[in-house]
Amino acid sequence: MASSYALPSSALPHAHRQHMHAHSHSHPHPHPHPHPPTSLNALKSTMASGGGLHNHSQSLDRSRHPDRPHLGHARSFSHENSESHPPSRPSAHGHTPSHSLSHLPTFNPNDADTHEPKNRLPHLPTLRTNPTPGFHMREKLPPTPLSQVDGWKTETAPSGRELLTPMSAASKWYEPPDSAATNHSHSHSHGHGRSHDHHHGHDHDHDHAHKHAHHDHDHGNSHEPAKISLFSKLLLRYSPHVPVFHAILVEKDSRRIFYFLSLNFSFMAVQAWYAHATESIGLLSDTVHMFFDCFALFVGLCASVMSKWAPSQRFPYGLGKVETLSGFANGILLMLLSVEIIGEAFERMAEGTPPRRLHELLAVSTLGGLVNVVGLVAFGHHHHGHGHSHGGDGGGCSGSHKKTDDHDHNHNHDHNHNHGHNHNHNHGHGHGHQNENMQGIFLHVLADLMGSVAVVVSTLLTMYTGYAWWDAVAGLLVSVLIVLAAWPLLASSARNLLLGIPETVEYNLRNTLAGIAQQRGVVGYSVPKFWMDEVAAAAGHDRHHHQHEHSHDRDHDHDHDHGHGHGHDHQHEHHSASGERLRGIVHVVAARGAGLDDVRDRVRAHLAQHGMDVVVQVEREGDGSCWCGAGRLAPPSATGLPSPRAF
Amino acid sequence: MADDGPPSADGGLDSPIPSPFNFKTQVISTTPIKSNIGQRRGHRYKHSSISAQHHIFKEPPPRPPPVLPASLPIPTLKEARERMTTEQWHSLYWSLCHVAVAAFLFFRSRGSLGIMALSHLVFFDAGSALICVAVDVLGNFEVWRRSSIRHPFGLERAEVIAGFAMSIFLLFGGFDLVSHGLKHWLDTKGGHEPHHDHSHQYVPSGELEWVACAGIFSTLVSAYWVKNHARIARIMRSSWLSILSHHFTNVFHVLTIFFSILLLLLPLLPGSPSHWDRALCAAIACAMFALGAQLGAAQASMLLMSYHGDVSPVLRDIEAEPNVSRIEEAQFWQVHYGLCVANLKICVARGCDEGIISKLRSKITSMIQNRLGEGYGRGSSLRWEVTIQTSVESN
Repeated sequence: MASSYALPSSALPHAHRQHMHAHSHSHPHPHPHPHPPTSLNALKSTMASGGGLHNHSQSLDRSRHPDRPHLGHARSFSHENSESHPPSRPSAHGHTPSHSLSHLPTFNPNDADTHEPKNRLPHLPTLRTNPTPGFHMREKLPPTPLSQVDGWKTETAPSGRELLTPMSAASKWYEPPDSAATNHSHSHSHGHGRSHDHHHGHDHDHDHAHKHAHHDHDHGNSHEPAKISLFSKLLLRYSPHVPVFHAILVEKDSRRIFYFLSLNFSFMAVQAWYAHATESIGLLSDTVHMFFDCFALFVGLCASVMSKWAPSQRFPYGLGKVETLSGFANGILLMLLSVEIIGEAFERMAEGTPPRRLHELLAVSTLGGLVNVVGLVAFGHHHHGHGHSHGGDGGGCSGSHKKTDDHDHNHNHDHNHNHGHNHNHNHGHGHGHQNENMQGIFLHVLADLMGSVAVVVSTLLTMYTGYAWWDAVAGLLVSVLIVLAAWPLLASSARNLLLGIPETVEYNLRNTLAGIAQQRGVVGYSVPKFWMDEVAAAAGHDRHHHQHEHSHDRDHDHDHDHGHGHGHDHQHEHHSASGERLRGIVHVVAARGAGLDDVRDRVRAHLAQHGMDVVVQVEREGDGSCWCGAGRLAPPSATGLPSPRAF
Repeated sequence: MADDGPPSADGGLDSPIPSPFNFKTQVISTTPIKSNIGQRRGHRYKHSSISAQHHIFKEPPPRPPPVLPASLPIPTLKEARERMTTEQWHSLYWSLCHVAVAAFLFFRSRGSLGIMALSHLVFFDAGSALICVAVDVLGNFEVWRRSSIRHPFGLERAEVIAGFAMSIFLLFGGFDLVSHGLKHWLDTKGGHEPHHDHSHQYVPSGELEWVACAGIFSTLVSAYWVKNHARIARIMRSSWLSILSHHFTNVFHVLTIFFSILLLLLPLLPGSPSHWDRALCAAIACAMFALGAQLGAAQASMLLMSYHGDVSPVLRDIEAEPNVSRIEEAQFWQVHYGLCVANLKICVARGCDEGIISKLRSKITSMIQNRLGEGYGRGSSLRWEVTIQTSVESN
């Protein structure tokens, strides 16, 4: 591997790309900035070795912000990180430090906004001591720390045989450092952002961040988060003894689900007890319904926790799809529920039995509706909800925030480009896209709320008008609404599960693929199959959260960039981001004169340039032994014919 | 196929309209030039320096080959209808009949929880039959199997997704039955007047036979004609249920028929039939829970890009190969019911030449196919697409 990157011609641009933002930024900036010599040095150092970049940025930062203790602090960490990584692979190298690094700041704001940097410190040793030199299959994939826990394939470098021993399930389950590690992984792209920021004019950033923090703070306060974050801070302090509990609380999403689940469950318990005491059927059936909700919430909670698990032998691409799956399941459940409601409505109509015990019904559904309103606020808050944790940030210490914010900015950037329309979509109906799990839960709660409201309204109407069929009409209406609401969720999650490639990515992918054949020594290729990397997506999704928390900042930064006239940088990110999350396979046919290893490295480098981590099988021209059938055909025409079996 | 394929090289060969000009432009543009080059220039010596300079003309710049079709259109409902064979129409009609039977059972279930439970099962069967028909119809189209950039594994995974939805239906149905049973129980137990006056009175016996026979008949027809659940049963085979359904094709048919027969026998059992009725409902609900959970888990693992079996012995054997020095990465996962993908990055020992590597590759491929193919003796094998990236040990 190392040899391939050592080639001067290919390695240099490659390194650029991988280091991405950091590098690209460092280039243009020297001129506007007052520290040209340092940045030039940095440039040189990056050329010499991938790790140089971080050093550079660090020094810059220090020189610029000597007054910010936190910044310096974090930076020193980053520095060490980057150094600790052997420079064998520039790409991986550049990334990992940034991940781990950036993670630390973002992690806290995200979760509880409460952690001080000292609290993060304990995580650091695990990061640094992590060996994982050779691993990093994907650039953005970060599970570096996890490798020590259970990835058998991650530990490739030190001793070959050990890797393949299957991991015991016990080790896979949960350990607090593990979760921390995953978190690190999410944030990795922040790292880029960070260096980026530093390169930028610092005044600018600072101001923006400040303002924003405050903004968000207000925003957050308007909702009910402050109490929660305090509460969860308290819980987080005591939870590490119960690993599962801690795992739930550490992540923002799962924490929210958990709180709402406990609320729902306690309400259900009270209701069940009351139903038992009064022997009321209406109450009891509502209790059963609540139980159903709790079950759906529980599934969502499990998915939210599981999606953070690292790739393992059993799940080679991680469990990032669990959330999509749970969202899909939730959508199907909603559909079935609405069908059932319709059925019952018709039954009610046919029978013509007026609903009985109207007052009881009214009370129960009102209470249930209130609970759902709380849930809706919680998850809806999540939806447009940058404010909460961010607010905490603003309160904490501005310097470090600023930093994280900027990361976020970069992220968002990536993100936008990445997902193209998808993302916009999501914005359209509020963040949902990436996290189908949360969207499903939100919809479920929404459906419940609609049900409660419909019951209340129809009961009132029945009481006042005396007609019996209000109930049925309300049921029909609600079921139609549920179907309409759940349909987009179903469609998007099904598309994801189908392993389809989004259109924007597809466009770039075609160009990239065409480039394969132009690599030297490549005669043709066959069975190119690529799919979105869910591990990165999981990370991205966490990023997503971050973004959301700071999304205001993001916009600002964005503008900022533009002000600088940074077209170039833009493109870079776009490029790497668009392909960032693709994995796949391709079989390449090498010409007779070309070395197999050489061809493999070329193709891999080419694909890695576009952010794809691909398993490349190189076959010799004329070697028809593979199932892909590429080698069997006569070489020149083979590439032109559609006959290389594409399935 | 020609209409939705890309304008490819063979598209011109079988063009339906006989054109007066039978030229093939490729031939003219590529081959003759290559052969003419030496002569036209008038150079006597092929290997003279001037000829060597011109050899750039021999190889035109490589064009990106259209390995993958530009795009495969997903058929609309109309296109799908046009492509359906009569056989497919027939099975579609039957599937709709099956749904109708299920609906019939459901609406006959006023008095009996058992019938309602059975109707849930029949609904599941009918849904599965519909999915089978849909899969069959979509199989007429290239986009279903063939991979494109948009859909790297075709659309076949859609069947897994639909199956997953069905397993959720099973779970939901089980839950629904439980809540219905609970309501019924409270209705009869609670002091207030039961609003269904037949709730403590069992269905008339003539209707029961009808219902049970309809269930059995529809299940059998679907099983032998539409062959629903066939692929689902395959992934369930490795489970404990295989003991149950050893002699039969699969669990679901057995389940429906078994409960239908039980329903027939209910009046013969001693004691109050309504108690048995409730017991039957509970049994069906339990079965639906169990099957739904298992089926859902199996399909979810597929959708999560995982392989359900244990691959570590195979990996160990691959590592034990003399020329393999280590495995850097190994990813095994199942795409859909019929296809698995294995991606390996291996390091081969120093000094292996290409022939050895090629042999090693085919050996590993066949090893994986044989060990994990699951197909022995049944003809329904799991295809493994193996991709092996080799690198020579560097030190």
